[in-house]
Amino acid sequence: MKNLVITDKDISTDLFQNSIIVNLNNIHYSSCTGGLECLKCEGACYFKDDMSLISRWMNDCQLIIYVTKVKYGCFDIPFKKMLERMVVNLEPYYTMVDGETCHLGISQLSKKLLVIGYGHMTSLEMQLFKDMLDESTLGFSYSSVDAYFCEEEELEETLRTFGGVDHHV
Amino acid sequence: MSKVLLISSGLKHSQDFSDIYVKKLAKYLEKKCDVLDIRHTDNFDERTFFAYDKVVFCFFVALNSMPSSTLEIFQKLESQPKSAHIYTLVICDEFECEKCDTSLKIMQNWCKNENLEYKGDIRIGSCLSIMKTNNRFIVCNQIKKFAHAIIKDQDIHLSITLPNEKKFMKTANKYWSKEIKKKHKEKRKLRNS
Repeated sequence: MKNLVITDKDISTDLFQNSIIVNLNNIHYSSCTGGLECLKCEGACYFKDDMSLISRWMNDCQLIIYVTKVKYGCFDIPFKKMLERMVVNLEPYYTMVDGETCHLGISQLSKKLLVIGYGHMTSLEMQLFKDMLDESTLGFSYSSVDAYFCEEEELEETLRTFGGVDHHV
Repeated sequence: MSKVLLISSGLKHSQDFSDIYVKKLAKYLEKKCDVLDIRHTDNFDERTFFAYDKVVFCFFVALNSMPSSTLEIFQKLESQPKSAHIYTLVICDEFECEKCDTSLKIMQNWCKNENLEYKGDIRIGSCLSIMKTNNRFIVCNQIKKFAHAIIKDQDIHLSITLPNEKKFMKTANKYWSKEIKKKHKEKRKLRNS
């Protein structure tokens, strides 16, 4: 399985040649309804759309790169909606990890997460975003979770810096 | 006396889990305020937001943070006149109420950016199973305290969850076992009919 890049903005495909690039603007997916039906049905989501495949890829790949706008110290709405569909990748039962209760991820394949957040944000919002990432990755076996921030105008340059990062995994 | 708006701003079907808490809060508020309006994400009209003195956002956290449906409300409200005092009722299914903290910080940050006064919150952990235990009485008392603070326009921060992790693991995992069994039964019935 290749590495996975999920972006909410058009980016050059040359930058991540060893990855599958998913542009949220080009795929069809419904919003999660939050009824947790998928947890009751062994991970079977009610919606059969592009997200069924992407959630499987997320389980199988070793490096995930998110390119997302940051708003209010959180993922922007389209990205958050995509992530909410990933509840399908969780076990229903609770487990203790580092003294905290959580749902374990179905896939325990070790992976790395790199998040490039763009947009205008304060230092408080950056910290909020980092805290949120740390919390949302508990239960998954991420060997590293890194977040980098830049202004929207600087995104292309920032991505060029990170281009080729998928060669090393 | 005041005008209070309760917005059930979680994801569409997560409101099935939060409704029990929203109804309790509404019950304690209704006799003590002039107007109590309860809205869901699908019938919420941002143009009327300015008319309320106090607004309570009620939601179930989604993947340990603010649900997208609440973020959509924030976006809709950006261009609207507003001056209400903001309270939050937030629930999470894990034992630790701290799982709600990121959402609360995002809420506080939004209030700061929009020049709204953030007055307080109630965090409820173990939300899927706590109302099926004797601790439901403590939950009701805490919600009553929260309602009282809203009416008096006081700052308040409350949290409630099951008494210990051992009890949580037992009752919460039992909840999922039951739900999964129920689903299996439904599926079998459908196949046989």
